[in-house]
Amino acid sequence: MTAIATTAPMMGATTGPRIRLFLLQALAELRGHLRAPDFAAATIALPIVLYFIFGAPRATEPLPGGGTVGQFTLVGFAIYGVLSVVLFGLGETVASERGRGYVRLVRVTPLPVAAYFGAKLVFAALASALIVALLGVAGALTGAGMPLDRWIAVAGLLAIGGLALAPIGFLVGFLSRPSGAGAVALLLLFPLALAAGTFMRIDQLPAVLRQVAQFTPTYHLAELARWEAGFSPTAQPLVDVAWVLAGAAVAAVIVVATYRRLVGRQFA
Amino acid sequence: MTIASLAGSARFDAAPAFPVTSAPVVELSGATKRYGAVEALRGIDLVIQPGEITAILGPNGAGKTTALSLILGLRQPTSGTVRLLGLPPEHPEARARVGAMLQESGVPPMLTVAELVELFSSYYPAPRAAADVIAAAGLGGLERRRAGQLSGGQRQRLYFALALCGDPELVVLDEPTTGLDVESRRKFWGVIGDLAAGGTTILFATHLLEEADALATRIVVIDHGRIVRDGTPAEVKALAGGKTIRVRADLDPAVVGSWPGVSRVERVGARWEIVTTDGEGVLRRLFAGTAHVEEITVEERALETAFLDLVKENN
Repeated sequence: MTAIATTAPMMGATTGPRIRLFLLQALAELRGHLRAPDFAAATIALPIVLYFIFGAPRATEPLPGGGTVGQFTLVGFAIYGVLSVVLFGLGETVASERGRGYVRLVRVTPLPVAAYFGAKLVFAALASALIVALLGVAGALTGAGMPLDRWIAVAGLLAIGGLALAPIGFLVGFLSRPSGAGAVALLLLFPLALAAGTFMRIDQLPAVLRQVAQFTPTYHLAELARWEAGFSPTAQPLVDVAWVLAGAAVAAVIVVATYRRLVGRQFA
Repeated sequence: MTIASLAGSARFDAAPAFPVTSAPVVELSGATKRYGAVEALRGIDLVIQPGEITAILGPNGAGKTTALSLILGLRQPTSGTVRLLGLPPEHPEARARVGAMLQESGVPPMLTVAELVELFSSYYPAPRAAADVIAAAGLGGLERRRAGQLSGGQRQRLYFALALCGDPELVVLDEPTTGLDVESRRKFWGVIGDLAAGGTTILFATHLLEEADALATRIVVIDHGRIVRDGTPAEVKALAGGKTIRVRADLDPAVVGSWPGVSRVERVGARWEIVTTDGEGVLRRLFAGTAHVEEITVEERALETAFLDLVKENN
């Protein structure tokens, strides 16, 4: 009861405490995830391991459209990593925190719900950047020939652009059963990664799939990343940016509407 | 707002950070809540004043958690109104002045006790000192322990600590000792008792008459979504509880039934079952005037049975 006298009132008035609150929230997300060995293994380490299996053996081999196999697969697994962060780090986590009643507990505090979910976006961006950075090291070790400045640009693009995929993660978190969220995430991960050319080049896909892929956000994000990495003959950067942004905007509206619709039931 | 209302509370003198209102801490009027075809609350009127330690007592499914969800703004009433500190419950300022401990609020298991207290403190405009919160919840020495590694009793006290982070005027606890063993439960009661002694208004739900009796200054009994009793623990116990005496004896049920406080005398197998609010008086009379008194047991009436009577009486 004495502590209150020493603390200045700062309810929503100044930006300092708000920034601190937001940073603490993002830090809690990072700590929670990085201390969980299953998350570190499945989300951070797996894309790097997959690169070593599928990309590294032929890393230096040139591709007809420019770039090397190493460069191509690096971008593919970077997108795969960002997708896992979004689907597991956001989607599965939100579903589980919802199921355990944690979101409800947060709702009775004055923390704005937007800050709670917003901090998860900061976490997603940082985790994505970490995965892309580790892939860059793996690429350098295996002679993929990716220039450093290009790869830094790709890391930045995917950390920010990965947020465009975040609404998919939140929808998984809001709509799937907590025990089923992992399976739903996995079901989405594979086709979305396929559309990004993670497992094989898009032009090697059957015609139908190639058409469908062009309606996914991961296809356009991958095109952008490869364009930025300097070896995508098919990329149309402005079209791709428009696709990613428009898709994210529409999905974000759906996420907010879904939350509002469910808040009195799923989060109470 | 008056000078008198300001002077009434040292808390406001120390920190006039919030507008001081003379509104009740909690005010439900005609609150109902329907889930599909189920009527969880059928019109609750409840006013809680500052400083009251109120237990909402009722069997499972009576509507306790629903009532608390309305008060905390987690759910909207189907009809009627809810005010928390004179504000709509979801108002950020109401949230800033209330702390809550809910059933099943699995915090991120990888974070430590100290990290969670720091995190939750950052949500509030005028948080209580972290060391103070940890001491008040009896978590000293566990600061560096991860939430996922705590025992059941320790975890409940962590949730209690998180409810205290904002230095709240009202603390709401939903079945705070469910699943705890006797020792952890008693320890938890001690912690709540200390908080109550400091002047914080407390509202808690429980299905244990013993718990309501141990902590509360006022017990609100609800059943099937309605308030069926509202009074001091002594009043409610007299009405709802009392004792069941089982005895093998040659007695006349009509005579025993007329003794003060006896509400029922019934033959069950070889023994008589006497329900009374005055256990000592009945025992004294039994020994004084009855032949062959054998195999006496006296027990507090189970709440579930007491409820059956209460509800029967109300219908």
